Amino acid sequence: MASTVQQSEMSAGEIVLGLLIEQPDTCYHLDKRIAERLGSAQFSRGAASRAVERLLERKLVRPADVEARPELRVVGGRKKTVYETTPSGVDHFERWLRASTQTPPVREELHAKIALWGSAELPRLIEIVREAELACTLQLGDANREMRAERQMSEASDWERTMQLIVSAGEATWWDARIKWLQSVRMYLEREHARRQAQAGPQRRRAPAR
Amino acid sequence: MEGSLGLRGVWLSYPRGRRHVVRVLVDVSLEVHPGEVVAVLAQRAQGKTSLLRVAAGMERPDRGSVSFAGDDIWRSHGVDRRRAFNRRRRGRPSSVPIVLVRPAAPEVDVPVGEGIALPLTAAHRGSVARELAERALEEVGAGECAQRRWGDLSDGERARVAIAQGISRDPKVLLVDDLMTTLGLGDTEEVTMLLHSLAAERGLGVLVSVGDARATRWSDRVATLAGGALMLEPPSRPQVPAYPNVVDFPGG
Repeated sequence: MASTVQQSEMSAGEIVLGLLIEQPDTCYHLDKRIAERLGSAQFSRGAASRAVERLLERKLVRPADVEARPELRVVGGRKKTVYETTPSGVDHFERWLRASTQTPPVREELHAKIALWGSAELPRLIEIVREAELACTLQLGDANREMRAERQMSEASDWERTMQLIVSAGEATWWDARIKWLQSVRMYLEREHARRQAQAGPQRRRAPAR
Repeated sequence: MEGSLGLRGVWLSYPRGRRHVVRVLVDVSLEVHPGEVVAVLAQRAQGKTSLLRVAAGMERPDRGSVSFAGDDIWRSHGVDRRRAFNRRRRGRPSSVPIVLVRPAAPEVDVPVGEGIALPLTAAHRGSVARELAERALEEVGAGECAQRRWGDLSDGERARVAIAQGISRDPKVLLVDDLMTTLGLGDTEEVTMLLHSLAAERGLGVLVSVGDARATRWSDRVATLAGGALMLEPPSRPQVPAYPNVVDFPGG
């Protein structure tokens, strides 16, 4: 359990950034939105305000100018600060979205990305899952080469060879699970994208007639 | 490259009902060079067999090209384009450059040695064909299976017999469909190692479809296939040095 919380705390900053890019908001509402979108991630209440503090220090978010943009004002209650992302915050978020594709993808992180992704940008999310897939394929290839190099060097006894075989199978199965999970995620997203396009299609065609 | 199989921008779809089509391969490009094993990892019903059938020239892609040694195998004109292509390439009808095998029970229940020899009699005398079959079985380490029937073989032996059937026809490219699915850990290891050494010794290009990453361990390159999209390791990847801190000293 402890590890789950720690895992979530790690990417809370990016999740808050993503939500603020969508819509500038107060800490209170951010907490609510996190619970709605990433209920399974088990964030504690107050995670948003802690994340915002850290993001403020790194100048990735700033208090929004409510006077200039009255549509952001929170009506009623006591005065609350509305936060928005800075351009470097947007940059940081975009980098984070791409960063994990080069390493074995952490499921929680990809979950968070999928949860934060706007439906309009589905093709790009599909592209990122694709990149992760390719990265895993390449890494499986590297792991295979390393395994063979080790095997060809060693003068192993029968028992050692058996152990090598078992370890090798374990490693391969680990990659197998990741690759197949990514494949399923991508195929699901692609189907979803096709479905939405089919839904949007007739409306777009009707538009000029009006 | 000489003797390499190439798929470039291949699209394939099957009709489903009157209105729909199932996209099986979407813009798939792939090269298999002599002496290397390329393993395609995919889940069930993701187009592994279709990919191999296209590569073998048994199925014509909707778009894109399939070539062997630089020749587009669908571009020559004639009644049977693929056979014309095969004959032109090697002169003998039974000696085809691209062979697709899968472990399936033969149509006639004869000892597997005879089963392998039978198609070879189209080009060779019976005794020569039998000898070729025997030699192929020896090469894959299944010499003792020659007199036995398919039903009496273990899964590991069947995989070897299927490979022997492939190499008995002396191909340049061997396509192996789903050989390892039914095999256990030890057999998978042995059969994949066998393919690896056959490729290296004969300069044979091997394209093998597998359902599990454990069967990719002895392949030179890995590809993954899902939703029609193929992810492939490029042929010449910059090798990551095992010990990045060790440098070669000039003259050392």
